[in-house]
Amino acid sequence: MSQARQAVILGAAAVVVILTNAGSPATAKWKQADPPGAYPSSPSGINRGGTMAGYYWATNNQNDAHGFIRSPNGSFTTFDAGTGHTIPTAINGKGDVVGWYGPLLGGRSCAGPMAL
Amino acid sequence: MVRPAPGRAFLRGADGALSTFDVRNARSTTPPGINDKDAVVGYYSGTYGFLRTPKGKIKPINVPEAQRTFATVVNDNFVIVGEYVDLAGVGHGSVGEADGSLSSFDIPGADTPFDIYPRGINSSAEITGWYTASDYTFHGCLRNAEGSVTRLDIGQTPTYPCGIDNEGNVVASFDFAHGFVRTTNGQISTLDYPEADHTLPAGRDKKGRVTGEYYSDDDGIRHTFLMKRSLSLHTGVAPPDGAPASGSTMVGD
Repeated sequence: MSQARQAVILGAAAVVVILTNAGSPATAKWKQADPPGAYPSSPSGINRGGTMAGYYWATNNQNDAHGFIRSPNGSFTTFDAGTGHTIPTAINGKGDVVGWYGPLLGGRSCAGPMAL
Repeated sequence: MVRPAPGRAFLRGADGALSTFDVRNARSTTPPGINDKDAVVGYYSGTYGFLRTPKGKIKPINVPEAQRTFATVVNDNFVIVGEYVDLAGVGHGSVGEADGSLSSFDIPGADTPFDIYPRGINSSAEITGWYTASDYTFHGCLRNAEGSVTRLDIGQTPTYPCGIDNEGNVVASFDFAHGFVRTTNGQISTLDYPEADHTLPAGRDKKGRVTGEYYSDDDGIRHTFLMKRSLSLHTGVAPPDGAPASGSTMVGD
């Protein structure tokens, strides 16, 4: 076999290996991380230490969204900033959360214009 | 344009202390960004940007000769990034340095975008976000520390970067359906919550854990997810699973 033919075969084999290994779901561990009783919920962000902030609606109560914070150990803290919806928008490395509250929804989520 | 959220702003400390604030006489105050020093940036009344200093003083941010200014993210060096809309209605990215100097950026090859929304900035002032082109299509973008801007799209689908860490890894979603992480060398790792039709990341921590929301078309109920381990990586050459067959990963086109 010529060196050129060997190179072509080896190159093709390398591409096959890349595509075969690409994105194997077996290496990912997914977990639902809703606050208890949430229906629905959406995270606004996660800081470098793994603390998450977001908002949720309570089951059977679609009136106002509430804020939540999920610590790295999985415990939740919920809060309301005032009357109406509470929508955290960002969390910093210390765990301080900023956001807005009010009677109407609007603004942006990560996925684009707020969909909820 | 960026739609103002009709409300007041709050800041909740890690200790649980809650405070609220407004820009004086504003119809609404929206704060999308905070740094580790508790500087908050945002926009008010759908028209003006602001910085709330760690001491609580609010300073307006207005790009000269702009009809609208929005501040969206700030890093720990107090580099403030956002958007301004010029008098012709064209959106531009804006970068305000801690010394008060101001510069702007545009998307190479983009035809008069009317909306640029920076969504993430890291300690090196690398910036990522999305923009809306004049044909109402959505695209991702990435601005490096030297100021060079590239598009960051997966094929021809809408792409929404939402964060960048200090190493330069970007977390994003595309086609309103799939998440992905793009490493600094251009490798793309797609993220799809099992059995879900939509996986939309919102951020990534230093261990590579990604959070976001997922839902299925059957009920549309959105749930929060946490992915604890990254997927294996694709090369920048091979299109990731879920990307349109006709469009390979396009970075910097």
